[in-house]
Amino acid sequence: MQLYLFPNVHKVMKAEKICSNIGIQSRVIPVPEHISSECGMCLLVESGDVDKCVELFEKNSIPFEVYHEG
Amino acid sequence: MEFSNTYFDNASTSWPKPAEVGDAMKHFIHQIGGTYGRAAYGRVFQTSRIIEECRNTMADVLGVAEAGNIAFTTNATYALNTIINGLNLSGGEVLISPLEHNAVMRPLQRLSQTKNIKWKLLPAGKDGRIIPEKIPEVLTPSCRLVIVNHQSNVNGVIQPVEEIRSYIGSIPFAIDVTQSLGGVPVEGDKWGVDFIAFTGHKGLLGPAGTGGFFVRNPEMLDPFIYGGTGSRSESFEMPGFVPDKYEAGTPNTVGIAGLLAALQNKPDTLWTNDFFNEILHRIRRIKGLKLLAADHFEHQGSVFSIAHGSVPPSTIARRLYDRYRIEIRSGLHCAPLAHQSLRTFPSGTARFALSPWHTNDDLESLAQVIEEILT
Repeated sequence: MQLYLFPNVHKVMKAEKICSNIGIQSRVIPVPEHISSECGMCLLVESGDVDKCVELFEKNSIPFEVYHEG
Repeated sequence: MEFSNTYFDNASTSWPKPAEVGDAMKHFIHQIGGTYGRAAYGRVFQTSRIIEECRNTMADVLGVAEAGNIAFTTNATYALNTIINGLNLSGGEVLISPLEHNAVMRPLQRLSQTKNIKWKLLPAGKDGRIIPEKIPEVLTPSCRLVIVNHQSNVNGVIQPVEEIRSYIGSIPFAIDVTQSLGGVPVEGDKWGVDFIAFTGHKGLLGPAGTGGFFVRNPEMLDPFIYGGTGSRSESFEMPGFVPDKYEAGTPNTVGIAGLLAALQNKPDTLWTNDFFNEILHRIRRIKGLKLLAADHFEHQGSVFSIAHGSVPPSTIARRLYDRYRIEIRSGLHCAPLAHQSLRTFPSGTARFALSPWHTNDDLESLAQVIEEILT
């Protein structure tokens, strides 16, 4: 599973909507402490066309960092 | 006299609201009630989704592509303070329309005392509408900002924003759409404005306590207040990215839920422009009355004022309320500069502001009662 970290809630919600629109299963989870001291949310992409997801994040000017989880 | 609605003070705040506004706020309080960001459980996710959906819808309403550059504030005054105080204006000039509200004038006055800024009026016609082609006569190299009230809250004059932009080059340009938004199209990107300050509780028919602003280049505008944003929490510095840079503290979640419902349930306007124009002509003919409205009807928004040679504005308001239960505002409407420009200072005017739910019959009745109390 891949975990996507975004700068703010606005971008998280935008990214979540993009994933949802193309049928990618994702879940908003608290940001793990080993990734960031962030107190908000990040996106855990559980399955689906992750490459397409990344392509759309970039196309929509959504900055992100990706981490491999599990 | 028959009225479907006797409330004509929609320039102060709109009433009624679409029923869905109250329903959404009640639903939010009772069923959702989470905070914005800062955690990741369902209640927060639902709340954050409402806020972001509202932000996206506001981008459509403001005619801007980048919703992330819209920050929510408690009202347009707060938004204008953020813009005016967040730019580096020290020692420079600010050009303003002659119809500005104190939401602009008081921050400018403060900066004139503390940062040595000077403000000057843009050239305008008798009704306060700016004459764009005369702008070069007042433009100097020290001009740092141009501020224009898109629609006057006194006489309803709509300003030629796009034309003004074409005469001021790349000088930062802020517009205040407090009175126009919801009634007059706003096209922020097409017009090339740098800042748009808005409120949620007037023409948009949302609840009080909602508003915000669009900023095209956030790097040129400092935050107005500092605090927690739910992002970059390890740092004592405010985030440099938007909207977080301007949204310290928990936002008005329940208000924004109401604002979203308002945007999604905008009613059709029941009165017609042609009839409104006829009514203004009729009111203008009352002996001793001065009508404050646009010189040309195509520049007229849904607000107008009257003044009378022998009946003061407060008496007009009182007679209308006592005899017909009509609710209007009299006085200066927090816009002394506008009244100075329109020569109705210091007594001010009696002001009428329509709702989309007023009908042509309401306008007909309104003209009749104004005639009755003044003749």
